[in-house]
Amino acid sequence: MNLSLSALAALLMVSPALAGDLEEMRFRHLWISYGIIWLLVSAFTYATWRRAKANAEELAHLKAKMAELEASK
Amino acid sequence: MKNKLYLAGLALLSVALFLAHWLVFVYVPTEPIMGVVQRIFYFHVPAAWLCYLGFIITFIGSVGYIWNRSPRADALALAGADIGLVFGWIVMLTGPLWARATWGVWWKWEPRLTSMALLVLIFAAYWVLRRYGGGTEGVRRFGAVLAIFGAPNIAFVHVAVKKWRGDHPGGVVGGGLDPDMRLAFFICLAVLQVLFIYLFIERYRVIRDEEAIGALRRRLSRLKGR
Repeated sequence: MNLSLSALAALLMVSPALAGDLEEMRFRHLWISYGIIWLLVSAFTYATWRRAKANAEELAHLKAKMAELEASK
Repeated sequence: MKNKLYLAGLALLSVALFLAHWLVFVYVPTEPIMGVVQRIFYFHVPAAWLCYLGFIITFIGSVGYIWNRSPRADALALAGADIGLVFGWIVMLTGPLWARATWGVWWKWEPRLTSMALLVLIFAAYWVLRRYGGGTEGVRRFGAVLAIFGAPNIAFVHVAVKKWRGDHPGGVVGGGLDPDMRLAFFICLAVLQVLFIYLFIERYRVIRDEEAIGALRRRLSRLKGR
């Protein structure tokens, strides 16, 4: 790990153009990472919320049906 | 009153998440060798810890289910796997983005990466089984056994850096971290932990409600059949 980081640092000192490309890639990967994090968390939250809403409606419907059936018997 | 408290809690969590991002993108100094891409660490490492936590909950729930066939334990296990996998995929996707900018490659077959990939795949298999296998007793029992055998892999992932000396950085949180970086890290960990608890409770409720719907449907069809 330390060896590869030192090699990277040495390479960047040799080539400023390479350093510019690498810096751009680091920024890009940072934004993509946080984008992925919030995409996954938001999708999970939305899916959970949607299922909770559908369940609440279904439960209310089934309970009403049950009460209706029990009253008719 | 309960609803207002719930909304206030959500508002507080949103503020805390905003603060965590401010710390990551503004407050912490840039690491001199890795550059800005090191900032992935503040969510990547807590996500790994929360992934472990989700799978440990699945393990505990599965043991509980095997022990006394409790539907609550089963719901606990399933909710743990659901949320553990979300954080697991975060780790598996942000890790290679960091690796490409730091090591120059997307992936290395080194101990921590490989054992983490295995852990996520085992619980992905558990999730697929539970989601698409049907809600029969046999599927629940098979899932519980799979989780019980899969969870000890967490220990392998955790000790992989020290035991097998891979390239993955390890132990930076305790020692060689700048004090500002450490502060930001622990705040991010705490905020994500609260987010985890919130999402876990919501997911657990959804699973319990789905069980209640199933039970009501069965009761209704019995009543209609009489």
